[in-house]
Amino acid sequence: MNATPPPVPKLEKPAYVEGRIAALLRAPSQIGQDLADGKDVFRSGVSFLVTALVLHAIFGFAVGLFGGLSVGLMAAVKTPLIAACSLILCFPSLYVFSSVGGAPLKLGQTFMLGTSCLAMVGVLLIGLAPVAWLFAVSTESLPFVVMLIFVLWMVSVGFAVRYINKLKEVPLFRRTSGIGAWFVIFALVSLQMTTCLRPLLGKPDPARGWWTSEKKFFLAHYGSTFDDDKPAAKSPVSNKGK
Amino acid sequence: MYISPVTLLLNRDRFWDEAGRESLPWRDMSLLVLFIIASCGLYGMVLAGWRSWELSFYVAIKLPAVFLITTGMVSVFNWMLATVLGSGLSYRKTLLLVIASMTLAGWILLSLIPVTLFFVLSGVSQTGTHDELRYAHNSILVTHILILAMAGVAGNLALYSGLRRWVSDRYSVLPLFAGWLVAFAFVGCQTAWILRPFVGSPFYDVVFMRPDCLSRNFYEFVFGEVLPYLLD
Repeated sequence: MNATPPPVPKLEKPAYVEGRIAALLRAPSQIGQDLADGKDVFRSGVSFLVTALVLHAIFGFAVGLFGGLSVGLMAAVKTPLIAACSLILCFPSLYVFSSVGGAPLKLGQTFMLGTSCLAMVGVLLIGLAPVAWLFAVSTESLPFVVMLIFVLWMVSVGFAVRYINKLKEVPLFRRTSGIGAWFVIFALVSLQMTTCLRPLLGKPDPARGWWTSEKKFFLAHYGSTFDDDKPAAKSPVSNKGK
Repeated sequence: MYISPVTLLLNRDRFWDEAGRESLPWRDMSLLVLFIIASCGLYGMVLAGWRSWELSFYVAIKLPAVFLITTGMVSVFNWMLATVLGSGLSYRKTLLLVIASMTLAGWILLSLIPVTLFFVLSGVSQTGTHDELRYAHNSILVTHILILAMAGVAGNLALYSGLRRWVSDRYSVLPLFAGWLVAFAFVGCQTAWILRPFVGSPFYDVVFMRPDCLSRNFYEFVFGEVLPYLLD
């Protein structure tokens, strides 16, 4: 009996060639391999950064519609700013934490890794943007929207951590505990940056414009958001500075 | 030169191999000590920056002093414990292990300076009511405690890996590691207590050391005031 061997399955072309977003979602190890090879790290990093900023802007606009079109536009500017500034402040710690954790990276590799994480957060946020928009425009409760955005953002950051764990297939990233710890710092800085760049969801104070110079710790800021039990979130006065 | 803070950060295996030589000169270790002074000094400067420039300058001296004084005080005990437990480590190696772990902690502190500075500049107000000032002080205090704890944990994990590398596989390093850790924490808390203030309470004047710094110790404070308050 001559049994014919089954045909060898044709290997699919790596998803990386289909674009950065597809690679983030489907083939993170490909990105990890490019990171380890040090191939085009600055170009890829810039590409990830631009992608991340655009995606964050869209998400910001969607949730900002809670306060109307003008607030939506303001949030579309501030959300990518929060993401970019947080990453800049956390860049040195990403470099050191990855090395201390056992995955020593060069500066270019650190840049690409950081921006790819930010892009991963952006991709998830954009996937969740319709949900955020739906709830944002159908409620007047500021605490609810703040909590919703926080949960969605944490889910997105959770997927970025998962993306880092997927990189373990590449020998350079076998030990990623340092990078995992870095996400705690990144999350805290992002929360403080959101506080620093407030208001984000409320109509800005006409006297002060889009920005505020008042210093506030993020726990106090979020605490005051939940203390405010007035439901009239769309009033320019009640949600001022949130 | 392989016994440098950069090698320790980027190529730890090579660092442990080179540092494991018995002929290692003392001057190689001095580079690590200088790095600890610089990194802890810079972080200390930021730590107290919210209160005043004067305190900032004081803490830039005091924070490295806490680490180095504590290391000096426990170094002989560390070596004795290592000898009694049969690890075979020399005094030089026990000292180098502790200094290496502090060097890594120094790297962590250095990398978190932008983050700390941002929190100080954007989150802590120097004006306000009594309650607001107390909240600001407590917030920044907790932030610094978390950061210093993180640096400490990372440094100690490196210490453990260094111990594992230098001591025979048949020898359990855990009792030695735990003994060193307890000794360092026990003495370090008291050293820091004597050299306080670090963050600087807004309700006290800025001083290099409190006038009552030697009137009682850290543990008397914890067991006499903090615990009864929490358990009340």
